Amino acid sequence: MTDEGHESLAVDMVKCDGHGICAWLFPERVGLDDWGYAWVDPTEIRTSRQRRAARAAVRACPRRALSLIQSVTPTHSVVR
Amino acid sequence: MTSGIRSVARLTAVTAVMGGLAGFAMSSWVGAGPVGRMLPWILGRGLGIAGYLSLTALTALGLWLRHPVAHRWHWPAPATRIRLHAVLAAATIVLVLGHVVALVLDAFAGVGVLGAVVPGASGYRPFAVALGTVSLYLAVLVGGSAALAGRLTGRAWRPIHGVASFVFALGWTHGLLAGSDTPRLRFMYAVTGGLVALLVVTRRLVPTSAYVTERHAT
Repeated sequence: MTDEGHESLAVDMVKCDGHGICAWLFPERVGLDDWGYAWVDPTEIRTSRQRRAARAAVRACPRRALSLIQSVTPTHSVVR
Repeated sequence: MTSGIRSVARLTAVTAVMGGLAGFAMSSWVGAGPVGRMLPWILGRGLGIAGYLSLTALTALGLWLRHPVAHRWHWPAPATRIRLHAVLAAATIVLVLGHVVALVLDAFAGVGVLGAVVPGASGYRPFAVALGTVSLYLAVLVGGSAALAGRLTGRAWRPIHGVASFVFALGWTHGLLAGSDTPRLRFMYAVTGGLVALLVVTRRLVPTSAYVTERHAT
């Protein structure tokens, strides 16, 4: 838990086009399936290093398919 | 991320050394003359061939990464393909820089520092060398923007990556005009150029909907 609340990654599977840059930038939390499309570990991002990597992965996605979700329980808001 | 960069750096060093040795061997095989006074020229030629082969593998893999047929092949894993693509990119830059340095140091090559840096300023085949120089500049732009993706270059790395086709086209033409003095090298440029052209054409021709449908149905 941080001052900003919970942060976690989410991927829009419809938008994802399998560029794979997200998995390259944040391999701890983003993987690629057999077809090359992204899947994410939706658990809370805890450290500042992870947060930096997550933000880089979000900003690098050409299709804007990856989001960093901030949630102050129980409300959710999507940050792009 | 840091460990990823370290592992890429290690793999790049190994690939560059092995590529340099392979290029050196190939350079001797195609007939570059006796080792001795010719060493900078042989090194420059060998590293140039190795750099070109690395660029070919890099371009082919880059095309294969998003090739409709590749989506049916699940080996190697997509994450491994991307890691290999990054290693080949770094190895290509290292090998080509070695090629440039070796030829600049060769007093008989007629390239010189200015000729290597400024397109058209080379005494030796200025047009052909200029193509290689521009190709290297574009390669640094493409590789650098991808390396800084999500940070300095944000999403711009992707449209910039489209320039990679020019990197290969210019590198191929540079090799053909400046380094294809034997039939074996001409054969190499024909085969590698044909391979990349085949991947470009089939990537455009094969409809993407087939694999997208397959993926969403799974």
